[in-house]
Amino acid sequence: MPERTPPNPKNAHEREYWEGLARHQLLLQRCAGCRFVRYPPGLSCPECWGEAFTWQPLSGRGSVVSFVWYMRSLDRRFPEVPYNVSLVKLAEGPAIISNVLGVKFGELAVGNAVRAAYLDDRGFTALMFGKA
Amino acid sequence: MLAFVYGRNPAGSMVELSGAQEYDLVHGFFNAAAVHGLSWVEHMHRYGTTTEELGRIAVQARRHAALNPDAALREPLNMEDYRASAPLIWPLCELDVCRMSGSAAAIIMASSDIAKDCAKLPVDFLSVGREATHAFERGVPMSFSPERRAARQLYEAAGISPQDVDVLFPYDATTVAAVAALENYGFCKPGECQDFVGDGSRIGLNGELPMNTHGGHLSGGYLIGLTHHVELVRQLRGECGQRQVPNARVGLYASGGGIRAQFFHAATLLARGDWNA
Repeated sequence: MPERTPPNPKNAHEREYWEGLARHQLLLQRCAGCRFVRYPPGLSCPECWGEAFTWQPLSGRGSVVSFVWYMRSLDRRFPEVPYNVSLVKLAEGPAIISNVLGVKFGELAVGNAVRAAYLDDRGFTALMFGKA
Repeated sequence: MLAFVYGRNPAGSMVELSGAQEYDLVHGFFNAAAVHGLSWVEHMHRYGTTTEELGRIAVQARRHAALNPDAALREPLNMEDYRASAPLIWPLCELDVCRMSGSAAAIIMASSDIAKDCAKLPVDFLSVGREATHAFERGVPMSFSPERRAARQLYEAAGISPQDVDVLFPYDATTVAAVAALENYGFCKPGECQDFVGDGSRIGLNGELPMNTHGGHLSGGYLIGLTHHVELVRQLRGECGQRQVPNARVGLYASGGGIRAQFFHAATLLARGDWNA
């Protein structure tokens, strides 16, 4: 397993997000003004700068917009290669950088349907995806 | 005003230099080559492009570097070498990505009143374009939206069109960035870089749009765009010797960067004083 760096939440919003993941629940902020669902969690909306929001539970369903495969280890914390980094667009809007687990090199394609998976490791839960 | 850059980047500094933040580090996402790789995979899917176009860029950069005594990598390179290059972050291989280098460059800027009395022919700063986006959050990989908006600003402010550009200097941290500049700065339509790049001759010294005539970052050395500006100024002054583009009057520099919360693009248009005479 890679040595994933545990998150260090800078504010209550970030804490809420990580606590959601720990319960295996994907929660993101939906702007009360423009309805934009943002990722990563933050103090204001990147679209309209509005600060008011509601927490939106997400379905975890999405599709692969793009992906790359690290073929060589470029950091000692990620020694095992190849591993993929995928850009997953969630059904509710935002796109998230993550990993699609359980696939080998060559088994991933743009447009693949994926579903959120929760990886408990090193005292925190990372948001991962698996092929749906 | 004096602007300069000095590069001495230790090996292993890639993660720190890449600006990766904790939300990405959890997933092992770092290095600009990964961002550019994401863009290219999406591009290949959308337009049916391949890594061959990227290879043409790498080979052409090396041809130019061979004529530049200051370039870091000057040994000959062909498409066979490119195809045999070691995979780095798929779909990119080693030859798609520039290397860290230790080097230095400087440019001097002054008001036109002062510049006209200097020994060397002054080069005019026509316009700047800059745009940023949080594109990943929208599911659109890098470069394709903010770069086009930066281009529009740049051309509108200077009152020119892509056809007026004689030499192009994209910030080629990877081959993808160079191809993206061709499409997003209007030299060809989105998705048409394959035809535009062709066998590479169009972006060569005798082509319609000579690109990175010093070898770029890919073969020249990584100095975050400063050597691009130095070469651009030299081209406009006619000081490039074997690499000189005949009658180069207008040059465009285009850069992009960012990895997490924002992707930004900045571009400059420079021209010889008599460019519109």
